[in-house]
Amino acid sequence: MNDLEKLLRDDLHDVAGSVDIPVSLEAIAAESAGLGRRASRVRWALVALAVVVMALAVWAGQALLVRPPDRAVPDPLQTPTVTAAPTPEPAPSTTSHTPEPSPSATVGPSGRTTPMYVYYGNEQGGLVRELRQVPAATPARAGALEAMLGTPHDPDYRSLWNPGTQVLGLSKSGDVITIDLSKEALTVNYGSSWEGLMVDTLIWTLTEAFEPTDKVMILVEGRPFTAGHVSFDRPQGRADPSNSPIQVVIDAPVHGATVQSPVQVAGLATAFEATILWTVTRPDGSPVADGVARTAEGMVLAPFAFDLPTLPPGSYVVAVTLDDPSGGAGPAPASDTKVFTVAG
Amino acid sequence: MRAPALDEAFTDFVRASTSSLTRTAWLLTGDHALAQDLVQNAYAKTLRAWDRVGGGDPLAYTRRAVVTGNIDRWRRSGAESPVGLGFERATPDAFEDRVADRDRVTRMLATLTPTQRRVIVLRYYEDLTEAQTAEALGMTLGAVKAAAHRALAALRSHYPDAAGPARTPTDTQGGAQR
Repeated sequence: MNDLEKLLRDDLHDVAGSVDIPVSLEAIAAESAGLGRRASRVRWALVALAVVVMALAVWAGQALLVRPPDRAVPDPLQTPTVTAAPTPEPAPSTTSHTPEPSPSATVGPSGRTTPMYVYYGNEQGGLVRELRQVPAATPARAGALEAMLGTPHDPDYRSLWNPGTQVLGLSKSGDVITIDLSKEALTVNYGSSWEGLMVDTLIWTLTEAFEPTDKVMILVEGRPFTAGHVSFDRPQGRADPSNSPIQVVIDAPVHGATVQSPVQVAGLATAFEATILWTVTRPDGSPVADGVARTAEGMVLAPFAFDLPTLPPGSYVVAVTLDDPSGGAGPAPASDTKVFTVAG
Repeated sequence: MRAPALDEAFTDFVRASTSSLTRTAWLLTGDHALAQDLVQNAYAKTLRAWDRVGGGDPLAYTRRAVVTGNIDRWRRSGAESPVGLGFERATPDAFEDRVADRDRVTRMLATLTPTQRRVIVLRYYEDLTEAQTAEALGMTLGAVKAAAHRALAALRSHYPDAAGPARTPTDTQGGAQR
């Protein structure tokens, strides 16, 4: 260190050393609770811009027809606008339709489905999602809720709600969606520590079907939803992207998919340094390939997409894991896996 | 999960790291109230992620949240803080020269760009290595070296007693001064 650096260092330590700024644990706890309910439109917009490009690449890569998003500020987490390719339609058609949740757009001919992201929990306590084909004949949002209450395709995912829960009412006023559930909702499947995640799956699924910036008021038979020790007596929105309950989720390939090599892996992650690690193994666990990829932005929920090396036909498991900033000292970092088959 | 209980490990972590982080935040902002907000907000983020980061390096995580929080503020306002804005007067029992010192250093730091200021504070107050600074700021090592070099050149006029020309900080690479 040279003279200048020494003088500067001494100066900084001298003046800062006399600064005494108290912090309040109560304020931290209140802020922490509030963070989950606040939305940062600025952040959303930034992430959204990056995502539009990625979403185009991802869906084009899967030979699905892509249309530019309809909304002025497209949301990265909103269901992409794609054709419902696997839909059992009367005649093969490439007509694109939007999963826009207005009744006119979602009420289609009998048997039509529309793709919509539905949110579940995983065993690590993270929020995850699956692109589900929900009936377009009923309002798609009702189909999305039914899918959320039902069984996810990925065996690592869990629906956290009592499957016997009925939706008694669903309405929207301003930016507040009000959902009224039957009393079965009070029977929590997985214990009180999962209440926050349980509520998140509902909030994210509903705001997916309406608008991501909306808030959700949950009622059970007309009264504010109370689970264990937490009363959700105010409308709640999605968490700020920097406090996302989604740690890592693979959107593509979907669980059990049969795809052509090269396979593109895409999803969302909240990665400390924007770094994610991936591995490909055979179903018996023998390693095939591994590597490192990056999300669009660190510390916040951001999209990722990368290509796997060319794989011979067969079955594989891809795992995406958050980089562990503790170097193994902490709990196991969040990860998500998908089983897929490369077509011959 | 939404509002985790304040466990003992977290409160211990806050107590142990408050003075370091609030002083860093103060050097970054030059403002008492902003620094307090910044640090409390960063702790709140850490608390939300405590299950994941508590067993690892919560200080690095929180420090990064302090720095990125500060970036947000600059981005929102579209400009860095004006010189001396919100400069905190010393407490009554402090000496006049302490006040003058703080004022001088705050004004000096305010002449730097936000990036240069962050690099200088992390390198010479937090005593991070260039590599650690790069990691904390999400910058490349080269960008950190360049920012430190320019910042030191800009600050040289404030230290007429320092001998020799401004050197590139590459010869102290890897935190050899620690």
